[in-house]
Amino acid sequence: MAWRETLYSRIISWLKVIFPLAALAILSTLFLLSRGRDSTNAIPYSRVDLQERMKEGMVNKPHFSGATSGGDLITFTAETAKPDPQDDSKALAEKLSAQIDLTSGTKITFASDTALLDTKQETARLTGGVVVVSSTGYDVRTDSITTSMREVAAETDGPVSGTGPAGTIDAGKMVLSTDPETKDAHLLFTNRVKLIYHPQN
Amino acid sequence: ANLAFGNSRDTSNLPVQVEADQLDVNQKDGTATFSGNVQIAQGEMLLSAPTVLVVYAEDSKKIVRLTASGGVTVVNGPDAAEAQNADYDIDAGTVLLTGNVLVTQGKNVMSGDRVVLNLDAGTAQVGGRVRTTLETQE
Repeated sequence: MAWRETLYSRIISWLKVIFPLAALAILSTLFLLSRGRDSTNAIPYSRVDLQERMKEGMVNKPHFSGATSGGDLITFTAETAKPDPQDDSKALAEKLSAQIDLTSGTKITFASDTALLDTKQETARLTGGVVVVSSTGYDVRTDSITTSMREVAAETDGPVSGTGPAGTIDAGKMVLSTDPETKDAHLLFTNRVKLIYHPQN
Repeated sequence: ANLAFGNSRDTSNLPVQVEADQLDVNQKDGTATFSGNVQIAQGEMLLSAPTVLVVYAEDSKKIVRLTASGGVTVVNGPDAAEAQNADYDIDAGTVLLTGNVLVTQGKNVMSGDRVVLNLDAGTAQVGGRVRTTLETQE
């Protein structure tokens, strides 16, 4: 029986050598024998897109800000803007948002899917899902609105509807204007306005 | 003097609808003024006036009062009242009429300086110099 123990312990001692070596061999295949990686190939992009942007003069994330005579800050930002091919004083912008910070602290923002900026008349005509939010608690939607880029003045083409500080509001038209005497900005809902307030006490 | 005015109603939080030609919101302090034949309707009550100022609560999520001026008429069910100014407290459900107030209830006409309409109870409480003319030849 003794020879079985010695054979057993001899096998074990051989295994103690063979297993680490095998492990080492397997590990080395990970580094030494791996396929060559060609890390020099360039990042894939199509030259067409680049040329199209160059030809059109597309601008990404354009940003325009200015102050009105009354000291209110007006900032325009958009996803992209490109000059209007027919008339270079106009520009077409996508996903435009305008923000007016009044000296009184009130903040009014306009946002729309598309906008036509007229640098000659310094107006922007926002169309497509226009959202107007005023920090006095008004959040209304309309189809299109034309706003000045120099003064606090804007006017919707058609009806607006949305919510006021307390209740829903609908009106035939909405005009943002500055009162000449008091210099306060006023948001006018005109052409019949309707407010519905649900008191819950 | 106390007078029935319109029929009583159970709750004072019926929706209030304000309709006008124009709403002017001052962007400096948020004061909102309706102008141009303003009509405030709630349940059976209809208040009409040339201009109405909206008075918001502090957090401006609630309308505390609607103050109408420039000649106000209030109709509640069969009865009507006229005055120079009206101050409609929505939560309390009361309308304070001031300035040569005239309340007509059926054939009876009552005038006074101050009238408080309680919309929930459907009563009108006339204060100040009161003069009543009652139609009796039924």
